[in-house]
Amino acid sequence: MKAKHRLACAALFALATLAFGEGGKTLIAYAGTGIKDPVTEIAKRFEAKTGAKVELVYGNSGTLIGQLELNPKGDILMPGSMAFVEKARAKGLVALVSGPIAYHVPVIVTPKGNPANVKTPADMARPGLRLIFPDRKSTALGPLAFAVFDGLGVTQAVEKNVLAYVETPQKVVAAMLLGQGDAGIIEASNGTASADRLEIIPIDPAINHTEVLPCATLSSSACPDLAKAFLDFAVAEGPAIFRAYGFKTAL
Amino acid sequence: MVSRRLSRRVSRAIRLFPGRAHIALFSLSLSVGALFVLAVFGGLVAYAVRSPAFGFFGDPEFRFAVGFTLRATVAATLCAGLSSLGAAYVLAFYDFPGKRAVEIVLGLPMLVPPLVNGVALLIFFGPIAGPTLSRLGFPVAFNPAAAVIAMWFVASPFSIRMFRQAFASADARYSSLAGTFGLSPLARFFRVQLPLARNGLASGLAMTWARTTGEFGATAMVAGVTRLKTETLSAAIFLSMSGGDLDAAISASLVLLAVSAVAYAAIGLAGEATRVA
Repeated sequence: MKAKHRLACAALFALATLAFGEGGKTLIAYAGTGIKDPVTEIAKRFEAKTGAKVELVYGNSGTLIGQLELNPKGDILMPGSMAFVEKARAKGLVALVSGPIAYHVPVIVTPKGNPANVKTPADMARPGLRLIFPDRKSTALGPLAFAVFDGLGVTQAVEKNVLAYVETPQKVVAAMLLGQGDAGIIEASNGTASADRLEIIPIDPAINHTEVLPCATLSSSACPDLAKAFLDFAVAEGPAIFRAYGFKTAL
Repeated sequence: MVSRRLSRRVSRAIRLFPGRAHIALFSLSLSVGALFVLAVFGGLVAYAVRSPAFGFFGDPEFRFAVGFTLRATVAATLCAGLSSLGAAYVLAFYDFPGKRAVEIVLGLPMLVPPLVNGVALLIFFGPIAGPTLSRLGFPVAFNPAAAVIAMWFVASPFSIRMFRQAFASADARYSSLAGTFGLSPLARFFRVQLPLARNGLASGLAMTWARTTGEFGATAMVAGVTRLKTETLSAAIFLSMSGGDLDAAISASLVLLAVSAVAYAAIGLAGEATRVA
């Protein structure tokens, strides 16, 4: 009986060591859904290198900040744009900020063959088009797209052509794949998975508006040193990983 | 400490209700359940009161979302009610080959995640039926009509199920008695079966309406979340949350909660009134 007890204890201890890794330290990282794939990869490599465990929580950038505001715990925040880090900083949630790890770069997307012949953002002002954009307030990309139109002075004409706003740039891709709309704007990385079934047209850098993808540590972190190590790792190794997933890391 | 007091209370209840201890336990689970729900929503209200964000009540976008939600959910509930009445009647009173298969097909929208309903609807109103509907001057995808259709689609399994129960639980003897008095089947439906099922049908409509009000996934997929065009209150909450505007999201949730609670209570009261009359 006693021997059995001791065995069970040993097994539990071994399990705990396995589960919590070296030093038993676990980081909780909050990341935007739009950068899920590269962030998962960064976390995996960080775990392999340090033996610490990284728990990833994905969500829309704003939702993550809302969750943190209600329940401040965790170590890392990687939202879709600098604007969201600023928002979190204003609420006292952020400790250190570093980056850029990559950039959000708007591109034009159209159905295969580009039947409506939309080649530049200015073309989107042509009457009669049906356009689909990510929401202008709650996404990182919507405001960028309209900053481009503002710069060209065509915002009102473009607004007349809007068929729909959707919650994420990925949904713009889905709508285009289903033949809805003549053109839209997405992030450069969003189209990589279905590039052969869509047309992806870059926007002239001279008129385009981009956004920095940062990484931050949280003031709630219970192990700020490990969080800082993750931040440094993400800045050093992150760009190459983001590049592999279709993101731009230089402008 | 608390658990000791609790167990003392339970054992006293067992002594007080010999042979009915399970009733005491069931009552306990009832009060614990109700208190928990109350505590959860009470917390929401308390948080909203602590940091109110009522500025958006004057916001035209918010007022549009409230109005659009009311219009779309009422339209979807009426559509679901009308389309479910016949189906529920046949399912309640008749047996036919393949009945089980038909039941499963009609229940599918309730089983799959809302987003899957949305994608399927977008495929149907996109590549499949979209070009024809557009030619007929009735484009559905990303238009307000798509919101109504998505809510109707998602909520109709509820109305069919509830209506069927309402018909089936009405006393069949009245109906056959009416038959012996020479009432035609059609007259029997309108003058006996429908009035007998009235309360069940009303609560079925209430459940259907509740389902349409909370619907977000399918609607957002096929109708988009275009501000001032297809933005429902649920979508407004989602967009506020996505934009990091927690206070606005909570305040909008409060409005939805209040409207739903009032409507639910009103329908319940109406049901009571008809039962008394």
